[in-house]
Amino acid sequence: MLSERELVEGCRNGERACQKALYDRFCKKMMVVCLRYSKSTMEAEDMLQEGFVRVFQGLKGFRHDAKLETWMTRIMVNTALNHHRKKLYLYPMVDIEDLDLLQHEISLSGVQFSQLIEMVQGLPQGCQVVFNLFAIEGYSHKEIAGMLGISEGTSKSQYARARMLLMNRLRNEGMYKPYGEAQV
Amino acid sequence: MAKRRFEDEWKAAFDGAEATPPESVWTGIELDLEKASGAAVRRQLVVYRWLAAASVTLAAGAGSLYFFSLNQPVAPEITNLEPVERITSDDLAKKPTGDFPGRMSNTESLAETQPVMRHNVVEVKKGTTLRSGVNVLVPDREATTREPGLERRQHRTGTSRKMPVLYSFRNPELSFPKTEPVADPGMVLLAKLADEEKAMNKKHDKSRKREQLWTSIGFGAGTFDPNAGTSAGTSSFNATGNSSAGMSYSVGASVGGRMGNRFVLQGGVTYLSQSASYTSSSFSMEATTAVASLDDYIDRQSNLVATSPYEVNSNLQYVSVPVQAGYVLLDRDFAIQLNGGVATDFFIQNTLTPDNDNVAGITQKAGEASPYRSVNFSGIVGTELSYRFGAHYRIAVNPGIRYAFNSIYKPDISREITPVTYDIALRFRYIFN
Repeated sequence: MLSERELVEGCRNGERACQKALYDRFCKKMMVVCLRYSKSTMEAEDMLQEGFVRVFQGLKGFRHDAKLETWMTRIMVNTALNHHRKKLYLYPMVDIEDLDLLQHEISLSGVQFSQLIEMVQGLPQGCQVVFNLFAIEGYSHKEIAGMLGISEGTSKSQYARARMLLMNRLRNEGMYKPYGEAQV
Repeated sequence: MAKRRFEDEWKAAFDGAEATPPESVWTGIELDLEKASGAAVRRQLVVYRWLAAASVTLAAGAGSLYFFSLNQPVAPEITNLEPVERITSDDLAKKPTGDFPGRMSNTESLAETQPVMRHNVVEVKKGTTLRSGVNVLVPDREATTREPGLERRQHRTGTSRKMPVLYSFRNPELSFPKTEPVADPGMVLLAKLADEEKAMNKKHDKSRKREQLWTSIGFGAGTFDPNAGTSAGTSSFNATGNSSAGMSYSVGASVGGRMGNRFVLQGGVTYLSQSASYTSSSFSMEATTAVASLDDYIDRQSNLVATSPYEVNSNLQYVSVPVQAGYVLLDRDFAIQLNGGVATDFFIQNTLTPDNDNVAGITQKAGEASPYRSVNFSGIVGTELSYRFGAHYRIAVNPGIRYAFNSIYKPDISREITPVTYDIALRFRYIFN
């Protein structure tokens, strides 16, 4: 089995076998990234395809100062953001009152992966992007604001809304109950 | 059941999660990669297309000029002319005898007319087509059938001597004075004009011979348009283009030589500085320092961090080696020349100067790590208007266009920058001979 460095080197030389091997190694994880940012499986597949093309084209500049998987995830996220930028103007993000910013402790261990994806995909477009960037990717609201061209306040309010919607959904599905009640 | 913070729980839920994409995704990736490699080949072909188009344009221009310079108005066709004798200076200098009415006693004046007459005289035969302004000599016998004036004169004198007479199309009839034997003022004027023309040609020939080899120094300034576009993909940080037109400066020296009557070839070395402003929404983290970066670098730099948009001035520096062919439209003290050619541009460095106190500037040299190609090719087209102000000096103004044949970025960057420069250069030329 080829090492990551050997795979990268092969891809840089345009060897299709190495490209396929790299794809096979990371496509499943990257598909999850794309599913989180998309509204449907088909849209996620489109993102995955475009993202991998960009990965192969950009590998010449990869300097191994970050983990390959991390670098590829960033490319996928950027590809997804490009998709969203084309549509975000249809869903203008406006500041809303801060909603329920109290910390909640939850457990998702009993929830199936497909249900999680479905919940994230069910969020409004702006909320979905901000939720992924903040909660999963770990960007700050300031960074998200810069990436999406929105204000920091808008990012915060969109995230608060996303969290409220997800909590409601978990509560309705019986997957989350406030303190004092038995968890599912 | 362990409970965690909302964000931590979601992050943990997706950590290590996998979903299998369908096989069609890889097929699509392969197709896209093939398309991208095809696009690279097409970009190379564009270079040759430009070269071909430039060559054709130059050749067509030169051909048109040559054609129009030859295409003089043609006089009506004259046919059925008999072979004639050729007049010589001896004939003209000879004092006519007898009572021929056209005799001229002033042989000096006649001699003055010789250059014109010799210059314009042609022998014609039957069926020959003549151009206007050409004088034709015909025997007096033949001339009588066409020249009533001459016929009348010959009848009066009753002479049968074979004396050549002059016949000129368009020009008024050439009649010799009957009384005072003086030179024809028209012929004298024509002779003088011919002498002047000859002298001018001689002077011109001398000056052209002198301008066989020259060297020049000069500087230029103009607008620099990065002409940004995208190729296979788009930058993740900015997909719509964020550059604005800037300035271009150049300074250089060149050597040129004449390759023919109208064609010249010149080449040299030029230092180029091209600046433009960009809006960047990213910077690169170098150790603990935030360093300016362009969004276009996303494909090459893995340490880019998104940030609020800020202005960056990008200054590109090249050493350029242009080779140009020129066609001289007007070759006098004031000269006009059309130039076209190719320049090989060697990248020196790029300096990014951010308009943001929290971000440091950076200078990137050529090399593997640089996002810029080390060598670029540009087409250059321009006009040279020059004035000669001494035996060895000429000053020239060159408005021109420089167009990059290829993107100045390396192929792995999905963004394409093919700069277009419109500039005016002032050159000082020293002529060796």
